[in-house]
Amino acid sequence: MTLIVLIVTLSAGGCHVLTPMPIEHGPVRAAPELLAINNEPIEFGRPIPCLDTAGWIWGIPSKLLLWDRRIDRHKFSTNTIDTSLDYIETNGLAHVKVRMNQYAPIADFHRLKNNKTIAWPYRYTLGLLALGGEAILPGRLIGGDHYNPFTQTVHLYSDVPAIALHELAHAKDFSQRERVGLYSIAYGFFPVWHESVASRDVMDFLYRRGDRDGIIEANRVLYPAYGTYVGSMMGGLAPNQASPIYYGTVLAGHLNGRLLSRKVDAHLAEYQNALCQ
Amino acid sequence: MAKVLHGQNTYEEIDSCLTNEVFDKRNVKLQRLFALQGQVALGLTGTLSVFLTLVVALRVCAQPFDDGVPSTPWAMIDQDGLPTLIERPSAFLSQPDFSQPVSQWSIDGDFLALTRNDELSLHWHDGFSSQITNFHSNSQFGFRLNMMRGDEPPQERQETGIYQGSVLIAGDENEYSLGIENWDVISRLAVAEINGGLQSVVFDVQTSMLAGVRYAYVADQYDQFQGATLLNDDFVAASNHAGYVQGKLGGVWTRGRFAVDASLSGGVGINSSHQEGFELHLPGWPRYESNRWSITTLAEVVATLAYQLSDRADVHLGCYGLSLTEVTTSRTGFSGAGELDDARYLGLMIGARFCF
Repeated sequence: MTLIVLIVTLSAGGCHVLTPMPIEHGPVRAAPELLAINNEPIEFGRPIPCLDTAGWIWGIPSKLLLWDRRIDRHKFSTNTIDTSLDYIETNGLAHVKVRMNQYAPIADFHRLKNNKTIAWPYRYTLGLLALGGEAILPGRLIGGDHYNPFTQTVHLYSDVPAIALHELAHAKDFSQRERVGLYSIAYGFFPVWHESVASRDVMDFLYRRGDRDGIIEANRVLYPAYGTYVGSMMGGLAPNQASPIYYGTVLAGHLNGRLLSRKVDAHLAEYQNALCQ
Repeated sequence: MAKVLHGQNTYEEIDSCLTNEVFDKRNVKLQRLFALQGQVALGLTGTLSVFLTLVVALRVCAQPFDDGVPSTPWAMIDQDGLPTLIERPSAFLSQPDFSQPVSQWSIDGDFLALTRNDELSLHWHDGFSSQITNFHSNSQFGFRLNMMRGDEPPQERQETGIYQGSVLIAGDENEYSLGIENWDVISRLAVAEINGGLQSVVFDVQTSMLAGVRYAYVADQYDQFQGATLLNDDFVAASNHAGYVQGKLGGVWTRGRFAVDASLSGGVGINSSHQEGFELHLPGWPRYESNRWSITTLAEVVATLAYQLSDRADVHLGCYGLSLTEVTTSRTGFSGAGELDDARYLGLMIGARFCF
């Protein structure tokens, strides 16, 4: 409870937790075989109204949690598509595939096979497990935007540009790592690190572009989303209070994001002035 | 006495099983004295370190912040009841912003008061009625020393190197009476970590991302006495030596003289655990020993609210949480080799920081 009070107190004025910081670990490492088969950076799933409707309904808890009806919408606006393409182009992620509401486990298996920047022992153990999970629990029904480092594929079901950017930032982060397999394992034990890196890169991308609306949206969505990870971790310290801690951090994220957005113009000017110096 | 606890065995049978483990009163006193010395040494070390830190902090605080800052008028009421403007050093009015530490080294000393998820309910019979006694080690006290070094003072939008290390020692000892028996329940925690990474300052928020290693020692034991005679040193005992690789995220948010400093750590490692005691459900109570290796994870949260005394010192109050999974405890091994469990510590910390 003390922690929650601290977080809420911090949020009273709005505080930057996901401060803008670009991912600059080194050059993007892409397997030539993967580049060769990645003709289209974005692919769309065929609309299936009954399935997409079921997926939309399944996603209601997520919509409520992040307080955005576009979560798990299973349809995409041009804004999300254009923003994704812009990020892919800006960051040289030609080897990354974005599947927008698409179920393609066989094609992803080919990508797994050709993603030779990850050592085969990782690909054919953890990679197969991850792919199997995507095949058995199809995102087209249960939603859940995510990035699969073993296939270098971003799976999107939400029509929120900030979320698309966040998943692509994961792709950028993993693509610049030398030990992708180990970095993937680390995600299982301390995901807050990876989430922090990705969201901070998104903030930097938006601040550099001077995308005021994008920053407001990112504040509104990425902070509570980050709160889910922080809350899950902190809940482990007090399992009996895990739920209040979890929802407390999500609420703190909502509050903080909205308070930050009230000063977005000042922050934008400050950041861009710093860039000019 | 203690029929349920001791099953069908009598004290004579227990004694015959455990002849070598019965010590005379003098040995017991000596052992307790050594244990007490250890406790006192720990306490003194912690007290001394925090006291020294506080003294240095207060001495630095007594110095003016910046001689170059113009002094500020201050109204005082004179003998006639009229306000008079006098000159007053501006240090305590100017409320300088300490968002960026001016130094590369910092050391923190903290007292810790933690609760632990460790409680065992024992049902026994005193000859007249059923009794329940709860053994616990859920109020641990200790100290934490934390040291940080930056390659250079953090600058806006630039990532610079940072190194951090800390040592935490805490413990608890409680005595319980079960009829004519006395039980000592002892618990120990020792944690040491060392990390390196990058820090940056953006929007006056100092953030750090570090990776490193951590060692954790968790041990507890139940000693059984009858009067002043130690019947069983380590009636049940458990110890864990765990090594982790970990990540740590930190942030410092400053408002005037106040700052919130928070960090979140998570990691995975290997634990070598040892558990020994008696198989109480078997005839004759044979002694068991269990050595295990396990994959263990950790989560640590540290959050403090600091009040800046000067640009080099602060005092802070906050909370500390540590969770270690897959460790062995005396609680789970009381009646025989038990399952692995979590050790969770949560509590308050108070201390001071000095930068140099």
